[in-house]
Amino acid sequence: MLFEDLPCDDCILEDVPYLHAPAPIPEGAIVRVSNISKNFGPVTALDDVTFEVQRGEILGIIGRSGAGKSTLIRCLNGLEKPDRGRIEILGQDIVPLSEGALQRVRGRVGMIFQHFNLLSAKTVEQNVALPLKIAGISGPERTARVWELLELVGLSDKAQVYPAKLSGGQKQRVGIARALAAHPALLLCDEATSALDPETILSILDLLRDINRRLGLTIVLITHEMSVVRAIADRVIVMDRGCIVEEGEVQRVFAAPEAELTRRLIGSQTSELPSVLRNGFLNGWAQGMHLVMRLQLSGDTAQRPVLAEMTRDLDVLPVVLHAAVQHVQEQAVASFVVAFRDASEPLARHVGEYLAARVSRLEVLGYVRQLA
Amino acid sequence: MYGNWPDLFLQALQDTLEMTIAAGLIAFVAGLPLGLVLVASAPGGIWEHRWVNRTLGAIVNAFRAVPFIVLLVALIPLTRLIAGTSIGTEAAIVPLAIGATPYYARIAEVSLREVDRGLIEAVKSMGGSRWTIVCEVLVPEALPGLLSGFTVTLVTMIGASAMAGAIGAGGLGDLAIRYGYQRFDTGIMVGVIIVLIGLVSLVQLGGDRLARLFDHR
Repeated sequence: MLFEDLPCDDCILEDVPYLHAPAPIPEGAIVRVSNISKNFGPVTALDDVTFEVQRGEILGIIGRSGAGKSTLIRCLNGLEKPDRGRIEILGQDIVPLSEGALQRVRGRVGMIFQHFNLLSAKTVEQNVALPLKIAGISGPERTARVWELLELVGLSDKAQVYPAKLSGGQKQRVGIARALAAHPALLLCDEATSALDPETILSILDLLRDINRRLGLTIVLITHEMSVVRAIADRVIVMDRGCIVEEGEVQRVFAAPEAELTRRLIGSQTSELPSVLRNGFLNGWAQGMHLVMRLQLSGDTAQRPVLAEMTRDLDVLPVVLHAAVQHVQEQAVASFVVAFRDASEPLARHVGEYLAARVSRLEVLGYVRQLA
Repeated sequence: MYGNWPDLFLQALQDTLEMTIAAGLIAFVAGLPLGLVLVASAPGGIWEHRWVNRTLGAIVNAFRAVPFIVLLVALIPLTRLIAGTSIGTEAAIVPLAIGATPYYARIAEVSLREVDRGLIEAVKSMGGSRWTIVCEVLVPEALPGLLSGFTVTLVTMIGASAMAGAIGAGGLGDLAIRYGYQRFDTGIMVGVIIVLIGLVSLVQLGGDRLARLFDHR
């Protein structure tokens, strides 16, 4: 009710110079992490980690629990200090900074959390206003910015509500609005969707992607779910026991994962083969056995009828055991598990060579006696 | 037996209220910062200082270990210094406040320590200073607990103020001992007990209401 006498909607923002003049973001990488290590007693959380985050990208950091990803993201805003190494945020090494200097850096880095961490004694509006209060912004400027953000996350009608009355998805929207309030140059997401139900996860990821595109905001998110990375990340870093085991464009990593862990993280995503097949694989070949392969097509190759062409060129009849098409950032990645009946060793080699030249990834799963 | 018993009760009630309210406010104003320092200086706190934490903790424990009746007598020189006298209602406020401050500090410490660390981290990640964390997170988030704890402190102090009769401070407890115990006047004794029960119930009711008003969890 405090705000009813404000001019409506669009015109609020026009008169407020601050809103259109956030601090400029310097050129170059937003984050440059060089050789950082961190131990907690005998436990190594980070072991010589080096990477960069480019302006405007969404970087996903994935790993199982205990992989060090949480420590890593907390290092990026100085909540944790590495034992060794450099962390440049907007060109400034934050490792040697005092608490006071760190506070200024943190003002330019927003963060959202798995459990939202909204202040229960403050209304939605007061929660979103807090970073602005800390930044020393007051009066109509603060009010206008808060309303702009609530509109952005679609919660204008909940301004005077206390967080306890909100659903999980709404709480995370408030968390996002709050993190964006002070015009951060970087947004850190610490398992931001892990406490939400599947439908809400999608809407939150859509919102993050939308913010990334519309505001050009750089986002670093950590997660243990490959689906989150697949949905919104441009680039992915896979972590295991404090080390980076794989890094690359999401497209490439999904199409042709190099590290064993990445393969397992992706694999756990797709529905697996029936157990009869999975347990029946034999490495050696014998008369009358069937060859089973997994092949993956992505990008341009996904558009081609590779299996049909092979039938025509090699005169073999593959049996499809499992097929799935996933969309990684609007690009199709198709994966097939196919069997070749009564495959002799020369035929297996022939098929292997033929497919290796035409698909993104090929993996011989083994031989089985029975297909079902 | 005593024609002026309503006056006796009113005077005693007034003395009790005066002592409890004055000493209670001092305990709140002094105990809350003490509790904040205890929480902030603890390991993992926002202002980690091992020796500050240990020293303060030891002082608080020392005061809490001394029975109130002993504290009352032991503090007579200090009371005389502050209140100008060691006898009467005003004089009793000094030992009452000094006894209740560490008591409330410990209660406040428990409430403050229960504030979700994630909230502190969130405000830290916005660039909030320690002072911001205290004002925007610790105190507001712990407020329901701080108010409930203050209610407990007040009720305990109503009890403790009965002993203040020992230094001529009057009050309901003093009335019960002088008339009810020393003069075998069971009527006064029962009357005092009823008034005390009423008083404590009112304080508890008010405290609960207030705490609920600030609880948005």
